[in-house]
Amino acid sequence: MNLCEVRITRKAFDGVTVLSEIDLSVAPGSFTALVGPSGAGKSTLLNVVSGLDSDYQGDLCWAADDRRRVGYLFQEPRLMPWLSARRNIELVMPEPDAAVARIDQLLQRVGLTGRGDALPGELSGGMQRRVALARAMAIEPDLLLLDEPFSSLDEPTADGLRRLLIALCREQGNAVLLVTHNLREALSLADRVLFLSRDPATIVHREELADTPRDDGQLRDPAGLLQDLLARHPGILSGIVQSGDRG
Amino acid sequence: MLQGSTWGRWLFLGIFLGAWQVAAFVLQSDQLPGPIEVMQSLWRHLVDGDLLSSVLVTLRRVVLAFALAMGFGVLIGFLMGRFPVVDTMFDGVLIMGLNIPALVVIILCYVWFGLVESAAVAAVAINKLPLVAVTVREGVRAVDRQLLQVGQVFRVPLSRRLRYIYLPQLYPYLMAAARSGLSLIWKIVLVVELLGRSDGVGFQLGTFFQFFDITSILAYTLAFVFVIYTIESVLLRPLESRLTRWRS
Repeated sequence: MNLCEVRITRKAFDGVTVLSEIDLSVAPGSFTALVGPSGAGKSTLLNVVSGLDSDYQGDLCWAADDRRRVGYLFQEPRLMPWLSARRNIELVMPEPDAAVARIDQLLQRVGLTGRGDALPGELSGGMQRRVALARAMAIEPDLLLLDEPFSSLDEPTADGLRRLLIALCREQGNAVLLVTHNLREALSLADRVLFLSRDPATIVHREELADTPRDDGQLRDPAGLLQDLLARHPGILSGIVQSGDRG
Repeated sequence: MLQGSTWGRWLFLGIFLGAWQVAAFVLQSDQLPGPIEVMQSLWRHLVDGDLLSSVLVTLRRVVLAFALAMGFGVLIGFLMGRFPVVDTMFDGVLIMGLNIPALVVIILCYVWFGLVESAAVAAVAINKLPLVAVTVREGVRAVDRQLLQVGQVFRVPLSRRLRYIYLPQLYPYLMAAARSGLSLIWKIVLVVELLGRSDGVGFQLGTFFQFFDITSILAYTLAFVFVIYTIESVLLRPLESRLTRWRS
């Protein structure tokens, strides 16, 4: 049974259709990546799934509506600058008073042991994203939404965070829905990659990668997959990936 | 060791007092007593007890009116900033409230409710309330929507959202409303007391005015300035620095 089923017939801003005929199901524990060009409406799609945006035509069905927990890693860390790393995590937890041990464990897991009392302004960009990741995982989400969360980081830092993300999701068994314009990132992380066109955004191709081997906690090497994909669908990358992603 | 700004402040005070004393000595007029004479009068009023009791009575009115204006002003301002329909409803009343002269409100309160304590406090609070509401409304409008979305997605309970997401962003606006509010309330309370109360600093100043007792008027003013500075340095500044510590 799917964790969540999304059917968006139409989503428009000021009469302009942004999303059209999106049909997407998310299985428990799966990792789905949606790849599309910048400005296609990827973030809008995540806002619909997260419940931030309810002004659309279509349906959003959850397997167990009363129990669903959604974590969200935004493009920016979106930490409260006046709260310490620890308090930022505590803020979203259902029972903050009983969460001390869990927060310590999460901070240790994301490599921030001893930095729990630091304010976001005292942490580097990579560290802030680690706190945001710990915050998203703190609620033990059924579904984790990722909106290009590593796009503004340098590649080694981003890769470290991607590995951490894979490891944490494997530990907790949550499903992931990632939107990105970076096809390499999608291929190295996801079990399934959906390709979005733009104006309006609609799914034009689905690529299943679940059988492709990936070592525990490691990223998949996207080079071979990318070549194979290009050979089968020569036009698939037009308008989606930036030249640097073709590597 | 004293810092540069503290030196500057004491230096200015010294120059001011010196110039005042010189002017009083040169003019030799009852209308401009010197600072030493004013200090002696201040001491006399303190010993007699009238100064302390008047200041306490006024202070009580200030605190009550301040609490009422801030409480209702914050509530109305928050709702106006948060819900456009409430903003549309109250906007006209607010503009009217901002522009009606304080004296009109005071007179109307006394006429409608009588020369009683509650009318005096209400008149002051009503004068101040629109300014608080407008300041808080602007604060709520400026709240970072992206941070609010965090609370929404993670289903943070409303009480926690208000305390940890809204309030810290509103602190600068609340402090501005408190500061400007306090200064306005001081001024209006004295007028209210002058017009319709038989105690308080305003009433005493009215009495001194009838006798052209400028020395006592200045002595009371000095005591008042002392109270304002005490509130500013003991309450407002430490509170502000505590609430905005994260900015540094």
